[in-house]
Amino acid sequence: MSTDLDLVNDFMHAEEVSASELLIARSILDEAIASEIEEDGLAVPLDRASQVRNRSSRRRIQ
Amino acid sequence: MGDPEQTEVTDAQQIEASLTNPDAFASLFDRHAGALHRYISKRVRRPDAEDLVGEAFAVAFRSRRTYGLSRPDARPWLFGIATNLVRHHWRSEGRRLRRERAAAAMVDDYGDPSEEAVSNVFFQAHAEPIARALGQLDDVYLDVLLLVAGPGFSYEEVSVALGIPVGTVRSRLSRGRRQLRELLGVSGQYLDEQSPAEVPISTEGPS
Repeated sequence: MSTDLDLVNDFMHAEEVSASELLIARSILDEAIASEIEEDGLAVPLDRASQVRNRSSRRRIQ
Repeated sequence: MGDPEQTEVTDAQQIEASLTNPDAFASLFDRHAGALHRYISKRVRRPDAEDLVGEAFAVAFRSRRTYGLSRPDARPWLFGIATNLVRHHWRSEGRRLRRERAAAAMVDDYGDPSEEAVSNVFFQAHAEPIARALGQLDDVYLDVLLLVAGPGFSYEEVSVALGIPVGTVRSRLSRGRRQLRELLGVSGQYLDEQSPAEVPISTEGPS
């Protein structure tokens, strides 16, 4: 028999997370890491994740 | 092959490594981003969840020097950051709605634009009875309930995540579950008790 916690657990795990859904999230972390590296004086190339982030920002502004 | 339990690098070790090699922090994302997304996406709209997952890891990264390296599992810390961001998100939404309403005298679905009321409207948009019931829970109970039922945290882990004593976790979980059962009962779901449909109905009259 289901308990209340089982129902909540099922609700929390009802949908799988696709890798593409985490791209923007990853790019935000990458930016934070790149920013710190940059502050430490190391050159950081604009990586692909940051480009995704920038595209996403532009899309939302539009 | 060796025993994975002996060779696996802990979250704390990765955080320590990231102090000199910031890129090492990305391994925490690889390990926990999916679980964090599942947690956050049940509390805010899905497009906002992506940003909040990223923000949670960015906040964690910037504050990693304060992490207690004696704790090998970083999940309670990460989920605590995520919980704070979710609350901040709904506070911001409430402020935005108040501004919009003040500017345009709008009447919308958000009758009460307080943080808790706005987040509750989010839950009410779900079709599942459990989501609607969760939306009516007090937020202090909701945090504890979702951390126990979602990532399966122990009382101690919830205590670390929310920065509250273990005894408070225990009492909030108990009260939250009671409130949830009552709410689900109202909406026609029967949990620990037998459903009326399962109770055999006697057709015999009194003897």
